Amino acid sequence: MHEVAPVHVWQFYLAIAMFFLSYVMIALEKINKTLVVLFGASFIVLFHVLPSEVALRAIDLNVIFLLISVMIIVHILAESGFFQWLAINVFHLSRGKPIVVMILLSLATAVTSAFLDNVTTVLLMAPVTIVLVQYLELDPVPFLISEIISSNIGGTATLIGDPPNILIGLQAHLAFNDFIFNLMPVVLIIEVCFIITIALVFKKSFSITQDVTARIAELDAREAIKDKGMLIKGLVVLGCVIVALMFHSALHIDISMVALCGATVLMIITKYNPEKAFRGGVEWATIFFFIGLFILVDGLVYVGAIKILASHMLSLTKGNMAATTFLVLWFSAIASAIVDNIPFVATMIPLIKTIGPHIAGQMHVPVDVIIMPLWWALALGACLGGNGSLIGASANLIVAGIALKSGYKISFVRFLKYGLPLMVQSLIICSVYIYVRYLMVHHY
Amino acid sequence: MGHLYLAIGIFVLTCIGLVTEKIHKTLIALFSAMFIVLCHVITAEQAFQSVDLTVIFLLISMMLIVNVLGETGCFQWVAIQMFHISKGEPLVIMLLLSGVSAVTSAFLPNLTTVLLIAPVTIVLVQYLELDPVPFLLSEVLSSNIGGTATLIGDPPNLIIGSGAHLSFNQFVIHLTPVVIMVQICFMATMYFVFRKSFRVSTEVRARVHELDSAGVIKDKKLLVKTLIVLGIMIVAFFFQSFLHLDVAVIALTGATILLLISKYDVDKAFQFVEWPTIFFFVGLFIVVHGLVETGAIHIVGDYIFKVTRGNVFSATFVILWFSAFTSAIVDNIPFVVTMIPLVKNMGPRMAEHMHIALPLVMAPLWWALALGACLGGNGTVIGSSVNLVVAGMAQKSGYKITFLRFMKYGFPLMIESLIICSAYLYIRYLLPIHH
Repeated sequence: MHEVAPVHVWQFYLAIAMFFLSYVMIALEKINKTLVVLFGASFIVLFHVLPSEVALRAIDLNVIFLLISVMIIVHILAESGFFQWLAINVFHLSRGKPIVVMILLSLATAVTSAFLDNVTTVLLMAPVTIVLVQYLELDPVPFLISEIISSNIGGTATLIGDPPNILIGLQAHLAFNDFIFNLMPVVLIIEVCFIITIALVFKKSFSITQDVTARIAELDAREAIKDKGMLIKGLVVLGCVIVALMFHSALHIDISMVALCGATVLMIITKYNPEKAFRGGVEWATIFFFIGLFILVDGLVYVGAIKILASHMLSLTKGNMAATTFLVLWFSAIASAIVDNIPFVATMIPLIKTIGPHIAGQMHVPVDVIIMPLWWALALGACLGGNGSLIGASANLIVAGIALKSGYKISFVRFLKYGLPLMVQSLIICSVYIYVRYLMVHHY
Repeated sequence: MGHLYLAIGIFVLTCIGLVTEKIHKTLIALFSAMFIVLCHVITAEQAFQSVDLTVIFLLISMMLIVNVLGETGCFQWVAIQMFHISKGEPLVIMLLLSGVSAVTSAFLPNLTTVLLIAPVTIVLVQYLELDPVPFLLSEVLSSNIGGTATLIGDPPNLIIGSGAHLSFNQFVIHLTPVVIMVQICFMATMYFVFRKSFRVSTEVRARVHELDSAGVIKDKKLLVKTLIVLGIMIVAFFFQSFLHLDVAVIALTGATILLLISKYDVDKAFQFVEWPTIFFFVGLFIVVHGLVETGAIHIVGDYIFKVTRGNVFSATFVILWFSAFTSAIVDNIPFVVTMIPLVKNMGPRMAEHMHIALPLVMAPLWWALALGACLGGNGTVIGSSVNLVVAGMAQKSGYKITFLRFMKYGFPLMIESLIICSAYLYIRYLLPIHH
């Protein structure tokens, strides 16, 4: 992060005003959110709040290229019929028992989300789930909701699982393995508790007839595969990328370069038309949302607004480490349940970068001791907070959209009934975990 | 040293890959770029910094705007007007388009010019049932020539202007005359080459005559909005250095505002951007940066100066021709950036060596660099960003501009323009020194 430059008072207020205006417009959802942030970003550059060169440099190309590459790999994998294959196998494994189907689908979603983007995972799992649950002649909504929640939980586990993690990982210079070591254990605990909870809640809700079970046995998973060669190549490349990501710091290569290399190689070996991959696979509106956001948030950093916010937060927690960590965790979760978690995390990153060294300095300990728990609290809060309400994460809204298209309505209240208690449950687990693993050992 | 050879090796392989066209060029460029970074020839950070975001965002924004403009039917309208002016004569259309392209490129970014003219051309030529490739090529070549004329016409000029402290007017005084000559000779050549190539059947001619521009505009309100945004943008481009705004920022703001006020579907708009072309640039920037960073370009430059033995006459011609050939292969922006310190270093030494005033020595060197770097872009399809963009657009409409086909026209015409420039530089700058 660059030093705060001398700015005029009006520039300071303009940066803040544009930021809040953009936030309000995103929340209102009247205008496409990508255009909102791009407009906000252009506006502060046009009025010289942020010089052009600084604005262009604020765009974190690491994040952009990683997102694009992952989207391309997933797109090719989806085209091969991988996800349909996965879902049908889940049915066979469960022998048509609805509660087992639900648990297995949730687990499959969680594992997939850990390595692929949540939105993509649910985008591919949801349509299959609806079709398969209709086979069972049951209401797909509980199945879909448990998938959404699982996807948000699973995505928390790795650096590439959820966009907030990508942002935190790359901007805070955390390694792929850091996420696995620090977040994977707690995510596993949360997912197990979640599965137990839904098993108890839905134990007696579903009943199906004999001939439905027979019908399911006839589904052939192999038929779901559209292109076997592409599927194998896709999985091999994805596997290599994940392995390379695990060792990227030892190999001294960048995460985004590994992913982009994987995407390029995959397109070459599958002879996939790059035009089609870029057009159909990459969500450009999301990419440009990031671009605009980087500039907008950098405006706040540049005029010094983040510093002021950080000092307020410090005075609130009196520089106490435990208080700050829990505040970050719960505040992030509640905020992410209400607003989009990507802009929230983008704003919190510079804030934590300012707070961390400050507390460390006060307590005479290395910065890492303080800042690491803060990063994990932010990641857990922002990702799991997405379960708090239907508008908490884009994956939620996408599933609701797909369900509506098939004639099932996931209402705001119905989602809240499941999502909110489960979010609170997961946050309690996180609080205990963070306390035991990071805070207690240091007795601060 | 190992890195130097690796960078050169990857670059050569990339070029071979591009010429053979077995694999999609975007994938070749990206793969080479990743390879260079994964082999630690340059760091990922350097790679990202070498991606010229100004070019990338200017391109994306202009493509967004042009796509919206295309929806309004505006290009069809302009095309029909062109038919009426040219009376459906293909050769006249070609020369007219080239002329417009050259003049516009002198004042607007070349990319903007071409992105606006090329769609019209494709529509026009499809009406006539002709191959649009010669038309597109002559436009691209004209655009590169026209861009050479002013300080703001082409990025290398902007870089030379700021690096050598040359003003807008100095570019007009020194480069515009020779650019006009080059453009006239270019158009004359095109006339002779294509004089008998285009045959339009009488039916087609009759059909063209019946075309009515009345019902072509599909969405008049959208057209008005788009033209207003575009107009404001062009004015802002003109005063760009005065406003202290990057061209990319101006273009991106324009595109955002247009999408906001036109209520155009954002996802759809982004999908129609030519992403393969954009990512080809990204890859190419990184690969060429490998050459710059390892010193490959520097070594060649140094060697050239040794060969000229401090003589301003040979140095001028060597810079002109060397710049042109290099710019035909690598992006001219990093090349010019590398050359500026070399020229600055050589000039005073030559002046001292030959006992001449410094400005007399520097003038031919700077203008040779500007002319070579800009006009060299015509040599091959990868010589300038405009060439690549037009090749991408042609491919989208089903016509392929291959590496070799471009070279067949571009390379001889580049040589022609360089001969004119050599004569100009000799007569205007070197002959007086001689006396």
